[in-house]
Amino acid sequence: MNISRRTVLQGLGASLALPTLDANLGLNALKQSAAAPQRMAFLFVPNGINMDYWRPGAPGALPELPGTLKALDGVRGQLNVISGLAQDNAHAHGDGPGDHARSSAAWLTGVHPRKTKGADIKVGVSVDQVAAQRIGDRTKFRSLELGCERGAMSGDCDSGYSCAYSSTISWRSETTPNAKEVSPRALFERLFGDADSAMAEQSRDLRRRRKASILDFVLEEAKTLQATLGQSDQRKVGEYLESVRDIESRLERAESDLAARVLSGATIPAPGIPADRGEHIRLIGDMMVLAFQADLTRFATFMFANEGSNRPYREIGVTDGHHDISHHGREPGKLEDKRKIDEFHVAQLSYILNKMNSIKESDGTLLDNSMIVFGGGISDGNRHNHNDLPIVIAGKAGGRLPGGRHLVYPDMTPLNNLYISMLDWVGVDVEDLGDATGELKGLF
Amino acid sequence: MGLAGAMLAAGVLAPRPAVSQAPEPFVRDVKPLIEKYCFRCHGDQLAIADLNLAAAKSADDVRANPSVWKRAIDFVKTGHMPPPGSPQPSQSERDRLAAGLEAVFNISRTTADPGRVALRRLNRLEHRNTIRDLLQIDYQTPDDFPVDNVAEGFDNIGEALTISPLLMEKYLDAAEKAAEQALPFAAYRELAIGPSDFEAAQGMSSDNGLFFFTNARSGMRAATPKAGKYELRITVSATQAGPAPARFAVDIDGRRALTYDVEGHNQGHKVVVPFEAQAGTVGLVMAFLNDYYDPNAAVDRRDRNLRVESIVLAGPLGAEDPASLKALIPAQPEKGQEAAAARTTLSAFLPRAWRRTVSDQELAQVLRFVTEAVSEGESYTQGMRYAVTAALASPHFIFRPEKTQGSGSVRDLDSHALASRLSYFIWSSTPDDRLLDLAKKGSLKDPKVLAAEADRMLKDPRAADLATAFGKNWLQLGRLADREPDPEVYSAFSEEIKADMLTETLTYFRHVVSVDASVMDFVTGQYSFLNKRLARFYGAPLPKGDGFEMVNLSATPRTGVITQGSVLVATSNPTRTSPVKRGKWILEQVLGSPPPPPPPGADSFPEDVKNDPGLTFRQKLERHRESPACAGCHQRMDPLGFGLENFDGVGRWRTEENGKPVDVRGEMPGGIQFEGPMELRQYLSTQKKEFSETFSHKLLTFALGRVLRPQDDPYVAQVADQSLKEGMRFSSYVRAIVQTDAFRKATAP
Repeated sequence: MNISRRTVLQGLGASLALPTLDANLGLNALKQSAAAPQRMAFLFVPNGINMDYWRPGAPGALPELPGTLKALDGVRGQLNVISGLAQDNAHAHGDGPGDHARSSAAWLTGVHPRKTKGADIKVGVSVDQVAAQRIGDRTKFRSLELGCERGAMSGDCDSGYSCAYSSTISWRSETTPNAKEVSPRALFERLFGDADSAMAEQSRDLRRRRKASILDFVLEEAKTLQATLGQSDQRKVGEYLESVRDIESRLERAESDLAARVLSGATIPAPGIPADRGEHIRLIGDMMVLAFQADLTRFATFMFANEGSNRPYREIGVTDGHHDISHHGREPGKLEDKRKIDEFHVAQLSYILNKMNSIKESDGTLLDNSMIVFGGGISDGNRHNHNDLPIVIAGKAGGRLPGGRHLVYPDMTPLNNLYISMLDWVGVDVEDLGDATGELKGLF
Repeated sequence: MGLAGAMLAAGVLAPRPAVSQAPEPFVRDVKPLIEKYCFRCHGDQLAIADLNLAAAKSADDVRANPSVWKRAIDFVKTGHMPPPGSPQPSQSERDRLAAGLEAVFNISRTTADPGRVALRRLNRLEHRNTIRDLLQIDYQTPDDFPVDNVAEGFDNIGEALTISPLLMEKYLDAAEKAAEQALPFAAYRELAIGPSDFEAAQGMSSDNGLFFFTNARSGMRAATPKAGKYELRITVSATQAGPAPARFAVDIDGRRALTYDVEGHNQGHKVVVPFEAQAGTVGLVMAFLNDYYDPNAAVDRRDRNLRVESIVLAGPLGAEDPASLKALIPAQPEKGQEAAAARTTLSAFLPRAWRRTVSDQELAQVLRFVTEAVSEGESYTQGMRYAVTAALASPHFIFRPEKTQGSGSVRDLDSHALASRLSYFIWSSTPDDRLLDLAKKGSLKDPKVLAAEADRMLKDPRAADLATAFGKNWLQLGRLADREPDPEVYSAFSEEIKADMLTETLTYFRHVVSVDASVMDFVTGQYSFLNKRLARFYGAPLPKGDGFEMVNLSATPRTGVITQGSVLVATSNPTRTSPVKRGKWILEQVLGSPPPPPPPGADSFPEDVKNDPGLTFRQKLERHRESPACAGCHQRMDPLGFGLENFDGVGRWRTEENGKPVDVRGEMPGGIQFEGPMELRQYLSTQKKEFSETFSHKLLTFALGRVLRPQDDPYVAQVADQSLKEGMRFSSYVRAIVQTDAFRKATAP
């Protein structure tokens, strides 16, 4: 279904806070700031990769992509395959089994998660949140957390680890995982407002002011409540306060007319979750790209599936569960199934990257002005090793990052070093980030 | 933790005063036995599974490490340590060892304390039920709410329930939507239709009313937002000429609804045209039928014309307002009376929404939303919507802060906190007026009153949600949704069958609650609730009707929930059964003796065993068990799972697998043998104390919304013991729990 510009404006209005709406909407001269925004996204796949079809040969230029990555050929010049990186804190270090849960928990944090299936989950702040907390206030949404699978509904997802670890890669604080949105329609409405709303202009304006005063009210209530509580309960109300402030500041940030223009050509996704995983990934990917394009956010995480997911991929004729297959024991049939799933995920990645590359900005394309990491926290699903991780990075970092290369680092180079370099690009200077030892040399 | 149950079994539960002696009994009686039988593998020299028992020099050391030692007691008593092939203690040595270690922990029992429950927020189910019961609307929390994090299998554990901006946004939207749903704008309205709303036509003008100067008709479409009875209230006048009065007609949706002679000269007539309409729009046509002109007549009898002066569309008539609207807006207040009316309503609503008494200051802050809206020209109803939205988005609604009273180290919970604990335990919802009333009077502090209320609440239809809130989590049925049995292996299985299986188990659970059956029915009950489709799938006796009905299964080998498809599928792999997962499930959910996670590298078969095509799965498991690091746990898990091997990976009966007879023999440590599900049932039926303990532990965890600690063991034992004496009825566990100090008190911060 295509939406009319009128619907778009109505939808946008519903999510705006300020009475100065009219001045902001379409009536201003359309202008775009000179330097395009810098975006980072982290796209995650679980259960390792069939590395035989992933690893390019020699380091250096990448004239041809290996089998699994072939679909990315159209953006090869904006792509680096990186070998040798590790997330060492996903290894057991005396904690026994649970490599799946540890690998997703450590993937963007570089921190060893506490082994618990109880309430005392603890890992570290993830790289996307470091950026979001530092400079996310420049856009309506500090960050987006996206996925295809909700959390599992059982306490113990992997050998004594809480399900929070395997269903989350984005952590606001060391104890607070960020819930992710899995419904394309709900995501659309979150970004652009309720598409069905057909409220009169003036009453919308009034509603916005009322909403702001409701937020003020609950903020004050929460502060008063917090003062009466013990320390650990204060932290709970602290999460509430922080969340309300986040929404409040979003209401205060009126978006540019850019959002309205971006949206005018967009398609509203149907409600519900598509059964076909490829369609699901592409729809969520569309929303992520729209959000980048409209500069509603600059940082996103997207789990194509939760870690340890045992979903069969009947779309491509794989009837066994993904996790079961990843424990391939070198059986040819399972290795082939694993390769197929990897290829399938890369095909969806290719769709997203090509879409980003088709969007022209003042300086190159949207993809050029991004750094998109794709990969996972397990290398070989059978061995559960967390070194030699499958990592590709797409986008030219505004021209700073050369492409078409296979970069090979010494074994066990911390993946977090890559993140330090990415944060440096977006202008966030950090002393410590998990187990990082410094920038990733030779990247830029 | 089946430990407390195990203790009960040994009859050593009675609290004993701590008496210090020299040398302490642990060093004198217990340590030598540990040295003799355990140090060989778990000592300073060799510490298999990273376990060095020699590190414990005193009873205090043992107490400092309860998880290890309680498991040790369990292992000694169940006979699966020391492992076969090691020197075995005599039965009396075994008893002494276990009793001696238990005594160490009995001393710590005197330090039992109720602890504190972390500030709980409403989870998804509680949020839905609370709004539904508070506002009396049919409310569904939207599907896109993020999943609640789970701890120890339950999704109502305060500490694990975090809030992110995404969830907060959903809470806010939900508050707004619920307020709109509860307070619909009154459906009845009077819509003035002006002349310019009509199509222009020859022979008429719309300058001053709808003025017809020749025979003409003009139409428009008006909205009828809801189906129902409407009426048009029309004022019409005419100028007269000729023999007959001016004739006026109204067509509604193409049908003549009125023909009316407008008598008199410029004299307004009020006519009412009733009609019924569907939701949507309706076509209205006004017509002048008998124009007349006689230039020779007197001036005031010369020209017959018709003027429709005003039209009002009123309706729908007699539309019933929903209960929520009546409760929150009993009558639209007169102008200037809005604040007083809102104060009356909100002073009753807020204490229900926030489950406690509300101060004048708090009331004033919410009231402000109504007065501000009204003073800026919005409707009273809209103002009340803002107030309700604010109340539902408030931390006092979303969280459940608990106040305590008194000043000691252990304090009584405030009676409103008790009311909420009761209602969220039994109903996963907000306290009803009766509970809030009892709280206000302070009578909930009486444990007898608490128990009586629990009984009352269990009989209420709202208790049905215990099946999803507690039962589904306890039985780990959340996993069922993720299970996708391979259609090539199990072609008869389908999503419908999977849904039926979940319905079967939830219905079974509700049955146990509603008839207050013994909870042993979960383990050994020989009946179930099946529809025809599921009964055919199982090969079980068919129910008579089309829905789910109670079916007698005493002539079949099925037992309790253990052999229901939901559990069997949730504990199977996509292409085969998993005796290990099934055994582990029974140990965890029934016997309360969960195995520790496997040691590093032990989570799969060695390559040579795995790739040996000559070995059956059972034989591979047996080889796996030969390794001492694996034996401890698999000796207990595997036999229980083997007992269920007659049920395939989707819960159907079988006697053969791959052309060979299924081997269903199991032998538990200590030599207890059984063959097949009926003998397994027989064995489990002897484990009443263990099960009572496990069930108490799970239900207490759920009731409190926190992970239990060793200091809670006495409460668990108290509940298990008391309920056992009362015949293990479901209600006895609930009554016992609400009377414990853990439920009624809190440790000072």
